[in-house]
Amino acid sequence: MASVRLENLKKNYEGGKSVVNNVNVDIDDKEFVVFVGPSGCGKSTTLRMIAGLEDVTEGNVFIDGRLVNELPPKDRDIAMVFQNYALYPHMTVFDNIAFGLKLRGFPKPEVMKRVHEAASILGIEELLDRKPKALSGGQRQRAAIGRAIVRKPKVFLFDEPLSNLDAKLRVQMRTEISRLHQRLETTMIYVTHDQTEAMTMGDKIVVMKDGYVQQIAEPLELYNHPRNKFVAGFIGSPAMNFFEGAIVGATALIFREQQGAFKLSIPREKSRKLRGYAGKTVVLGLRPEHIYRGSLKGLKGAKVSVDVQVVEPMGNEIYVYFSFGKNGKQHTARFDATTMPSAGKRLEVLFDTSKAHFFDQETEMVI
Amino acid sequence: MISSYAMLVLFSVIALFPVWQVVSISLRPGNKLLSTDLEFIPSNPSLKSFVTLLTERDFLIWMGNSALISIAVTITGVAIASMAGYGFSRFRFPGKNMGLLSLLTTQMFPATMLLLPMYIMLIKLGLINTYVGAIVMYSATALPFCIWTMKGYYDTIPTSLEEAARIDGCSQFAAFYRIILPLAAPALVITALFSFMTAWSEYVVAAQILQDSSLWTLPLGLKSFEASMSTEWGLYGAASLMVMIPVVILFLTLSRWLVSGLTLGSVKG
Repeated sequence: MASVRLENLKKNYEGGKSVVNNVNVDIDDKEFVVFVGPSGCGKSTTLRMIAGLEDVTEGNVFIDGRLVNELPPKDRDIAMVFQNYALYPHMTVFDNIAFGLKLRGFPKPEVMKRVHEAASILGIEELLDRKPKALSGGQRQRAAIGRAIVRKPKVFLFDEPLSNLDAKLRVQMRTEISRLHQRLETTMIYVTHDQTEAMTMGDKIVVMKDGYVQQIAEPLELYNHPRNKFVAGFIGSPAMNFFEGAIVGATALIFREQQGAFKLSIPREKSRKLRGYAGKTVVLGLRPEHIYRGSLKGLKGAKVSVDVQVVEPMGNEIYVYFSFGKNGKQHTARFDATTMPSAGKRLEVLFDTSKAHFFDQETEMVI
Repeated sequence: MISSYAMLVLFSVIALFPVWQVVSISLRPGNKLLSTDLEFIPSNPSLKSFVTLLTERDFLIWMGNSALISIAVTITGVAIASMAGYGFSRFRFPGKNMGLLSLLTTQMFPATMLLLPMYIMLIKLGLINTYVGAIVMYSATALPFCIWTMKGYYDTIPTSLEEAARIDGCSQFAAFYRIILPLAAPALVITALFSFMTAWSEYVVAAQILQDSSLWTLPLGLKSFEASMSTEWGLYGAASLMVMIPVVILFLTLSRWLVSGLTLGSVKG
């Protein structure tokens, strides 16, 4: 059990290319922290610096209060699960899981006990005699997780462990890893590009982009109060809709969409912060679930007429892709699957302005 | 289908006929050595050449010398190439590309061109007419190819395996010999066979370095059957066959390691 602290962490590659910049993160003992971001955002490099697989260019990594910058991976008391499993192909599953224990000189009976314990937690006891090539993708990933948990390390590191699995297995393994965290009560650091994984698994999420931390928060905080346009667009599926427009009016502020497609009154609670933006362009962010079908009674919001382009029935809900005018930018709305709107027709919808987010057009920070 | 079998049979005959001729010559009695008929088994076959070779000539000494030098070259080749190849495959260091290119360049010179400088160098080092001289020369000749072979093979083994091992408790070197080296078995076998063959059947370099007949290797010994007035063809044939035997055994023993797909299942493929 241990805390992890990243202090002004930086990583530059040869030629001065900077991939991680000033990352400061405090991870508490027993916490499940997810680093999430698009490809190339520096999340895996950060994880590899914690593991000791990459040198730290600047800054410090502390594990359990101890500076580990110069420690080799084997002395950091960590375990890591790799995206591509990285099982030793010439060894059986048993030997793969036991490898770390044997290296550390554990007595044979203890090795046997721990390997069987780990295998039973993961449901792979009957696979212990097999070589990795005789396992399915999910079984391989379980064996890789077994190799990690058997040593009972201070910190678990997961580098996109579910990316190679099919969608159904991914959901299953996701819950298994969450259950494992509850059972082992160990600090876990998990890297993924999948915001759903981040939202469903993490106690705390670190959103990264271009080597910089964008926001560190609990999942719902991140969803409801994104700090900037990037976080707002990255977290949530389907992604948040963005509309550029101007703030007009003197007393009662109004948002007027750039192309004149719609106007909406800004709720009083948001007016105070937006007053300074009167006459300026801002970005309005609205999640697809905060756009309602106009025919539904009893809902408040700004009425907007849109052109439906594509309708995707998902079973329990429908995604409606719409635009303003035939060739306008595409946006998404998410409705209950009661009736299907027709593609190519106009549709009255309600924008729930109380759920709207406003962003500074230049800095992209939330207003 | 039939035509491909016909082609295979044709090429097999072309490849095997000379071998059979050697067998045939080794079995011929003394008065038929220069016979040009194509009979498969000579009339009155005899094993006399084999007996003479083993009892009256220094054949076993030559074989011992060849074995000593070839095994030493094999061990040196495998040890150095396995580590050098790993270094070239996994690490970034100044002069890496230059080093690889230089190794490749050495392969472009014919061995005979190197004889004179090699001879001078070995004299200065006091290694002429020694086993060590031959071992050094053969190792130096075999290494560039072996290093490239090993490097190419290591490149196909995912680095995440070593990283997993390093996290599991291995040092960089332990990760290399516990995880990567066993997976590189096919390349190690190729390297071993190539190194062995470089020394085992080589004549030109051996003739320059090993002048004392007690140090002769098999090719030098075989050449001694060729006198100015006559050649002992029966012994030549018998010795040629005996030279083949260790190589055939080595190939058969090591061939079980020449398999593909050793890294199957280790990573998502």
